[in-house]
Amino acid sequence: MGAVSASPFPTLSGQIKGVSIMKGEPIVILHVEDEPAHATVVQRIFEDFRIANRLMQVADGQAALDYLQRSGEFSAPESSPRPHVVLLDLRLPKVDGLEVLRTVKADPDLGLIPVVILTTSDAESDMVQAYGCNANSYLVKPVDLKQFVEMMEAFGYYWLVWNGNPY
Amino acid sequence: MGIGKDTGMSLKSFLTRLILICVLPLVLLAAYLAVDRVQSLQTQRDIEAANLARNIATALDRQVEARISALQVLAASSSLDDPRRLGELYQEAQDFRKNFGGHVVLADSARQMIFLTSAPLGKTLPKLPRVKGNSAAEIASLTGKPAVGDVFIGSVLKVPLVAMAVPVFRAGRMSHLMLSVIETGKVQQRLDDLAIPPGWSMTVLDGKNEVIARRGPPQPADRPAGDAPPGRFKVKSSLSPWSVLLEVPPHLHRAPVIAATTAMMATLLAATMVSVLGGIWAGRRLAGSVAALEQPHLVPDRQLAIHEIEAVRCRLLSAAAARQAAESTLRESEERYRSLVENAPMAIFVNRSDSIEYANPAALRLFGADAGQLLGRSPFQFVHPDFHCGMAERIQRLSRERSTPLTEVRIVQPGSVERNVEVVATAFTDHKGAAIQVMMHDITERKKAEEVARLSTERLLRAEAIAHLGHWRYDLGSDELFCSDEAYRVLGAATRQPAAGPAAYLQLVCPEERAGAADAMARLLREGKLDFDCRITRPDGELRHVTLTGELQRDGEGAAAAMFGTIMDTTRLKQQERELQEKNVELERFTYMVSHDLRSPLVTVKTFLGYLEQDMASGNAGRISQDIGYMRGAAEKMGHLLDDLLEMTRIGRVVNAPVQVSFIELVQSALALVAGSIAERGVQVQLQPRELTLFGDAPRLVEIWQNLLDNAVKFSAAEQTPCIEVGAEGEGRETVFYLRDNGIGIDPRFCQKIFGLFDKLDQRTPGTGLGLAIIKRIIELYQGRIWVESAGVGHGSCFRFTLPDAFRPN
Repeated sequence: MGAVSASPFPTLSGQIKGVSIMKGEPIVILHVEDEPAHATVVQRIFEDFRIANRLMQVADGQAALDYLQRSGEFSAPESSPRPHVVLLDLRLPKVDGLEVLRTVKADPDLGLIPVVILTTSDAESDMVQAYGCNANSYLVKPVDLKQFVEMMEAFGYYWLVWNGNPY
Repeated sequence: MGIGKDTGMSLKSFLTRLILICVLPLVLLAAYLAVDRVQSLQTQRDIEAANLARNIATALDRQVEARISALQVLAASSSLDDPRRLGELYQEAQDFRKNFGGHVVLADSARQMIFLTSAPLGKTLPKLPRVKGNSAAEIASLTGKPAVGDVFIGSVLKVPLVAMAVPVFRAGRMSHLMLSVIETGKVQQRLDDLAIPPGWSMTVLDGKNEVIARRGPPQPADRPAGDAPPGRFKVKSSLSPWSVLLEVPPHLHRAPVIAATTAMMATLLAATMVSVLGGIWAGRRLAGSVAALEQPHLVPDRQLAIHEIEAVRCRLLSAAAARQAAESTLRESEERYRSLVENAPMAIFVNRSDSIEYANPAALRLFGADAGQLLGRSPFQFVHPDFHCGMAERIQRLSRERSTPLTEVRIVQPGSVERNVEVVATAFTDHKGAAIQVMMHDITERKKAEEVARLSTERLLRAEAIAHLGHWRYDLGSDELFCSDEAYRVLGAATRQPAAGPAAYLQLVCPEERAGAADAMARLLREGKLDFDCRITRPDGELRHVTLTGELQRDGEGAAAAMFGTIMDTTRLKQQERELQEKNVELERFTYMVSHDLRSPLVTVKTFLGYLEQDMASGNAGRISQDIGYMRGAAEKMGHLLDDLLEMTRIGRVVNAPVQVSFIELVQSALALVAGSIAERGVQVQLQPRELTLFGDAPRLVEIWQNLLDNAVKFSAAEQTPCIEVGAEGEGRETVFYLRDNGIGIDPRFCQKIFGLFDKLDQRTPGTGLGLAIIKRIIELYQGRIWVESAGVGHGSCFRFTLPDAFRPN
């Protein structure tokens, strides 16, 4: 069951006015996270700060692939706008995060989308594996809220404001 | 050797005869020659005598002739013509007498002596004497030629005289006769002057064979008559009627012949004797030498060194020596044989006409009897009855063949102790007749050892077979590869392949690993050790894992002689390794996931704690309750996770005592535990009333159904009345338990995944994600398996599982 920003989480469209310096289009972030609590956290953070225009959240790997490939539930293009960056957790039901990463990066088109790993695991092996599968970045969820917020802020500024996007 | 003595002759007599026979012709020849010689000698002498006689006769004749010639001269004197000159004539006659000797007589034709030199001239003289026999005067007057007459007594001289008359012819007629008269004594003198061999007699005979003169002894009267008796040589004078008779006395005549003959004979005899004696002597020596051949101890004093005899003698000596040596060797070897037999460790006995004639000490020991008990008895008495038939057959065969092949029999010692023996029998014949020599070798110990070895080998092979471990040995020198039976089996070869070398087996190795295999073998040669894994494709196509170990065997000089090692089918090991590896990986993942899944709630708690602080400060009640909710949820999650983890570790480690429990009981217990949620959702449960008795850890078994029911309720579809069917199909260990629901179903892609650790398909649903993993583990304890069938999302699902070990054969 994938969840778009529609339900049960509130959309973040109102307050956020993120403008891509480059293109001036609404910025789309695809957040793949299975733990509802963590999804909420990220959602709240993106809510509180002016970072993204649209935060799309899915709860498992299969949904993530469906979204990106525009299949299954997400066949309609409106339901799955192409993200400018993907936040990807590693531990995912159905299809594992690493598998999603591989699949995406293997695709000549989807591979251009930056994928940032956001996970609780700080294990070096995971990091190496992720980078090995051509992850663009690797973030470890801090235990502390303040740090989490700071991190996501930095993430936002870097990836969404400063970072050049092939699209 | 008595053959030669009666028949045949001694070498000596043989040689003697031989010599005689050889000498005989020579002797005869010599005799003939001797005789011939003697005869020729005789003839020679006769001729000489005859020549002598002739010479004398001739000499006499010459003298007579000379006298006659002188007389003729006288007669021719002219004084004769004149009677007045008679005195001259008489003087001439006297000269004549002085020169020649003998008287001269002149007579007229009337035989009247005119003058005579012995008488003075003018004396009246008688007439010429009448001469008996040949009268010179008469013959002269008759023949008109000079003549010589026989002996007569002179009328005047009154001595025997011989006359030579020369007729004087005057006017064609004989007028006078001139005679010369010689005293026979003169002739005798003349004769005496001659040299004649002693004993011979020379006689001058006149015409009437009266002796005129004689020289030499008179001859015996009993001489055979005839002109030419032996030893008598008569030569007639050619001028006179005289003859010269040379007589050799018989003994003298014969003497030289006899002498010669004797000499010849003597010589001949001597020669013959010498030859014969020489032959005899040589023969004796030869005989002696040859005899010495026969009786070596009779060595003659002086050896005749004849090559052939020496050679024979040497050969005989050496043959004798050899024979002696052979005899002593034979004695020695007999001794040795005897001691060999006596001391032989194997039993040897002689069977003559079914009776033991001789048995060596080892035989006595083997049969457990002493000589008294053994000798004379039949061997059959000591052999186990089972073998009597074969034994009789072999004895029968020995009459035709020389020996029997090696056979095994059993013999029975006193006390019914049986021994296994190997038996070989040989037939032989000696002075006592035909017999059989039997040799028995006690192989009881050997058979035991063989049995032990056989068992040991059997066990080894069996061990190899059980362990799927074979051994092999590759001899580098002879390029021969030996593989044990199990090695062949591991390699998949149906039967022993004698000719295949290592190269052929290299082909079995999977192509990509062949280089590595060859490498390993090279390393074995270099370093002496081999430990190599590879995959092989068996001839039947099956892929197996094998492990080869090996070492290098060296010969006495340290050079590599052979490779020896094992080959083991490690497919199962590898399988187990893989499984272990998988378990390890799983464990790692488990650890990883655990840490992750524990960390995650922790993150939640702490994060929302932060939010709570904020929200409390800002007074956002909605958010506050949300925050608290998340925190609580996370804490609960952690708790559940820990509980389930504990449960997981307990499975298999803490096992309750197995009890007998029925299927229905188990399901009902499970239903009781889930009763709350069942009632809440209004789930319909159908339980198949099967009478099945299970045996095992009851709480664990209950957990299986509890979990499945729990899931079925959790994932029931919202629209319909949830319905669950529980039952069992099949019999015994193959019984398949099922739990079917009409819930939300499972995407077929994820049917396998749901049994993985923490693999929840949806994080939002309650549960730790361990439930199915846990019951999978429980089911695996009973050697069972669990799987799920679902047509897809929205089509319900059916969980099936087996519990083979829960069924005890009654």
